[in-house]
Amino acid sequence: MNLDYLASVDGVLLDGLRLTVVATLLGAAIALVLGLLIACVQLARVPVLFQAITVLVIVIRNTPLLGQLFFMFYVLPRYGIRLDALTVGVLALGVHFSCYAAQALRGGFLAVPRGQWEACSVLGLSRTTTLWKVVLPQALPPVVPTLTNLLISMFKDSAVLSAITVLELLGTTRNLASTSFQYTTLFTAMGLMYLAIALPASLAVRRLEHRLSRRTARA
Amino acid sequence: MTELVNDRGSGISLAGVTKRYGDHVVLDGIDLEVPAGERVSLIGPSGSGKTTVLRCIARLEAIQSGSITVEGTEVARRTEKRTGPPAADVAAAMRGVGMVFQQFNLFPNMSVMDNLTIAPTRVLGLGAEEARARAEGLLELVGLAAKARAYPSQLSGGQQQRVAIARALAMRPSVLLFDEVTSALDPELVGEVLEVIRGLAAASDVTMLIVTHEMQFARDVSDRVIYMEGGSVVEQGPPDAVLADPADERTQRFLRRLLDH
Repeated sequence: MNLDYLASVDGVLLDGLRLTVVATLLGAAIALVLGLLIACVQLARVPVLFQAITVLVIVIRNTPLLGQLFFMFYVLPRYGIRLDALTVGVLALGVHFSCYAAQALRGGFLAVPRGQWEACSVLGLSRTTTLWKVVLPQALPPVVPTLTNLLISMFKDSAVLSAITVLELLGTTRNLASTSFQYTTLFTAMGLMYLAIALPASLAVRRLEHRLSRRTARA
Repeated sequence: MTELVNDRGSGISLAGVTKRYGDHVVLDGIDLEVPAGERVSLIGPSGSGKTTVLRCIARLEAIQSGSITVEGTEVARRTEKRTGPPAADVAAAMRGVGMVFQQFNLFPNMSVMDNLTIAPTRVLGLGAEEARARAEGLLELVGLAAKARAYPSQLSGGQQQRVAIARALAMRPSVLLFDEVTSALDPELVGEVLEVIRGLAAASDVTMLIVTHEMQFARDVSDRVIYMEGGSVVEQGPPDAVLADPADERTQRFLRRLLDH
């Protein structure tokens, strides 16, 4: 480890880390909203939309994220959709993980007893109120650990954005290494930076799961 | 205690209601008139369709033929017949119908108070203060004034069911549907729930349709008892007649079996 060299580039590396975190959070926001929509379409079996979404989910779950990223980066501009690399990267992450989030959310919805919907219906509550005040508050907590695990996966997988010129943490590290040749120092530092965020998050999920299982055991 | 319920009620009417699941006929052309203020108990073996009657009135089940009228508005008709009153009229009529479920179906993510105020504020447009005051009065009525801030999981089954009754009453219904409300309760908790319903029957003029296996309760609280079997009404009349001296052989057999246990 060359600490003197590291000290001279730590600002650049931290900028990369910051971009990784930003891309992850934006991607997660898209994945959550889109995942919720996908889950609703699948549960309500909205005609046409349901079939379209099913195909989309199959394609996305059975092809590599990097391939999807390249597809969006190189193919969309041919159809007049020109977005900067970071936007494409965030969209690709969001769409990719929305398919996994949708599965978890659907499970959460299905775990809410039918009687809850029926009670809402008999009380005359609107669909929106039923969803936001009664169903979602019961469907979400049990799937928070799964969603957080997806968030951690997305944080690590966001490294693929370096392949389309986004200078997030991995891309920045590789750029620096290609001129300074300080491979050991740079990639060790990079690894520690990923660890510093992902490890505490993983431990937090484990504690959360533990608390949730205790709560269900009590109820 | 007239403030408990609406007095505009004109009751419920079922005409030739058929409910099928595939080939299985659950309700076989049921006709039923329940004038405002009447208390009717539906009894019969499981699978006789008595719960389905309530669920159809509450619009939790679609019907395949016939029609259901609540408060003078046709709220359900056979699926193919498209013309009916506007959705807003149906919703308005259904606001007068409250239902209490076997499994309580309280919202576990809300306090007792929020369970009682969500519908009055969001559906009836009551102010927070007014809804709160109404809820407090109802909790008093069901003997749970001290539990306003508790969550359903912190209550016994009997307490939860009393909250569920209060939640239905918070909408000031003119019709209350009770669907086997004591079947999920431990035996020692049945009494407190039936006591609340008896009190309600004595103190208000709300129309009640009660599906129950508690024969003594049916006898005490109802004006009329209906015995159902196989999706049809077999026999009906004053509780003393149907329960003590049934005319139909099927009713006699059912009641005899109950006594044997």
